[in-house]
Amino acid sequence: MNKEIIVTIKQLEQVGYFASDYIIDALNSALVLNKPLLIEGPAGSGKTWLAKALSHLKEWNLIRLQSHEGIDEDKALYEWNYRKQLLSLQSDIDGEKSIEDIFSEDFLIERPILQALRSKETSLLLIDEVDRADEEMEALLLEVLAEDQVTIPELGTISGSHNFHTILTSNSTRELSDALKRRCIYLYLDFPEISREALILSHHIEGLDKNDSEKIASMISYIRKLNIQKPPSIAEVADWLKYVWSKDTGLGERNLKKNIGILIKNNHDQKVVIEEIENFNNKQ
Amino acid sequence: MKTSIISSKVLSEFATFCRDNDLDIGVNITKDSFQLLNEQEINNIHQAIYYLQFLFVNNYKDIEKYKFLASRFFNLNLKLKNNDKQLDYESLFSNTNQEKDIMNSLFLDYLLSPTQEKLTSLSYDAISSFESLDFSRPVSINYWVERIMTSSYVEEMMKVFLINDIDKYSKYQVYALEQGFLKDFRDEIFTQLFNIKNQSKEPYDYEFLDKLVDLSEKDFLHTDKSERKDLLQQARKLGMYLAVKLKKKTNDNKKGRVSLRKTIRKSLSYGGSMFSTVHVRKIKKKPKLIVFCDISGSMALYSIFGLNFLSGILKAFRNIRAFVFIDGTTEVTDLVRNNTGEEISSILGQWNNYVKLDGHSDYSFSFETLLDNIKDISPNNLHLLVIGDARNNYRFLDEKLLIDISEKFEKIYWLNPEKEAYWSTGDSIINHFQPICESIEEVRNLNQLKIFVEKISKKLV
Repeated sequence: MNKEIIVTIKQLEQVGYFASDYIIDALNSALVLNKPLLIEGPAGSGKTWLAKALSHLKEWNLIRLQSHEGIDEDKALYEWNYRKQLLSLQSDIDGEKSIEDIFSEDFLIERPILQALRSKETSLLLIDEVDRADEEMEALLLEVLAEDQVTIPELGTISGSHNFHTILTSNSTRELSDALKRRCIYLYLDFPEISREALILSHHIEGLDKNDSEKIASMISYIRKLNIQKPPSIAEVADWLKYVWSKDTGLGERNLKKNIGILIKNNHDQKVVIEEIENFNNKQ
Repeated sequence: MKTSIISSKVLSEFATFCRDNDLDIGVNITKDSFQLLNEQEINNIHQAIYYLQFLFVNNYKDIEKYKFLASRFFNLNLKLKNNDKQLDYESLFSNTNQEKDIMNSLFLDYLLSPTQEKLTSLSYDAISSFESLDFSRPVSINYWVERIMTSSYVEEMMKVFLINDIDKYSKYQVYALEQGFLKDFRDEIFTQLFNIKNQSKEPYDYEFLDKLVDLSEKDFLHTDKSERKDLLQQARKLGMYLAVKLKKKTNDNKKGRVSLRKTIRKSLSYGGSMFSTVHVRKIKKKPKLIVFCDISGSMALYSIFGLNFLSGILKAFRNIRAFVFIDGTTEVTDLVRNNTGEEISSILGQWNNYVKLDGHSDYSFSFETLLDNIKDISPNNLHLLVIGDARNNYRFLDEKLLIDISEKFEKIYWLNPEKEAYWSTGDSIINHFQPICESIEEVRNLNQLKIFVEKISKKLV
């Protein structure tokens, strides 16, 4: 087994990512098999952060492709530099240039996927929020993910250097195709369990002790279970706590109500959270 | 090469077994699985199955299914590691107030490691311990679900959640667990009761089944909460659509007739050739609209649709005013303009605030107060949109008032949610308004509202 490639919980902790065994096992499976890792889960559960932490830990070059509706091969794979091609043709008074000269490496603009494929140093290709891209884009990824190669009609097939790893993230806003999923190792990354979230919070907030961080993590975990449209992400909780902690005003429900805008970003959700916490307090 | 804990033959048989049970697995999975098992330091079958899930499962909903299939195939009682254990409930529940008995331990066992089978068995026990279950009574399944949920058996079971000596934040967790359990348990009891009730039933004849109703054809009054939410949004969108159309129309009509004098003067700068024409600047005729909604008991729901529709238009035009009335008039322009659909619906909740006298609609007095409210607005190009059933509770309607209304407004449009067949029957005074109205439309569903919007967008400007 390639021991160099695998990562441990401790190593990731050193770069500020607190993973569970489950995450580490899925990640290591992907690294060992050199297969893409598809991470699905709610927004703000630390999917992108895992890729960043991995690249930081391994000192790999992080190449990020942010997916969005309408993204195509021009933005993801490669593009021909038309201006340069035109200028080159204009300067070619004798007409010596052939089609091959114009469609050569000199005129090729590498986009993230091609960059990763041809990268000489080990790199990590992060295809973020792949569910936002169209299905055509998924089809484009199939060749890259399965064969480590892309085909450019004018240049032929470009094979990868095999020294890059791929992480795809998805917020599950739509179902990805089976063809894409089959090529990946699958990891569902939910919000962290209380103990892990407490660790994350105490790492981010200076002076927050274990007891307090566990109390806050319990409350946040409860809030996430409420019927709200967008549960607070880890980053939002950290921001909220940073503010409350910096003001040194304690962690009561009153503070939650006052600064709820940092934590919950929807009017309806804010009402639900405040109401439920009041209900809960009245019940006790 | 190391020998894998699962041979390739068994692995491929397991993959086939999963495929046969609708777990979607690719063809080349066996090769990757074999490689993964060889590469990882795997000591036992449990570990092997745990690692294989990363390849076999590609949807989080299938994780439980995979565990079930693996336990069936390898004949194991699987407890795979997972990432969703939230709190050490085991130690928490050791503080529970309830005495330990068999029922209690089954329930605790479910809470600590929930599975569908355990939930089914718990709900089956709850149903069988409830003796008064009688499907011959003309009540819905939900009635029996509620009875069972409040039965002494379930109450006894729920005492597990009464835990001593825990801090407030751990109580959050227990409370969340309790609420989550209640929801799942209620659903499961419903499903089981549904199955039991339908066991003895003959299949329905096709012709007796309810036909699917197109939501846009459904009467507003007969919509449920979720349908209403959807329809309110669509009504709002329709208002916005109308606003866009009207905006476009007012903007398109910017150019007036060609000014010959100015065109000739301008042509001098091109040596006399008429290179371009100059138009007389046209004064925009923005629609001045008053919307007048009856929110009395019978009309309230329809009016909320009307007001939602209106809020879409109000965003685009400043010179539209909205009034609601029962037995007197109240202006709600700002309320409708600045608020979302949900807050507009709150008008219904504060119904009492809009009652001036006795709470029964009074069209005569309401129109009088409306005219009084808008006496400063010039009647030039002023339109009125009334949403109401014109049921005046047998009150007197003065003919002079009708003349005043017709003089005040250039055009009057009336949306009546009543079926046309009922117009002018009983206390309806719609026939009195017919001569002064541009059009009276029956609008009781979304499609009719759409048709009205198409008509009004052509006529209003």
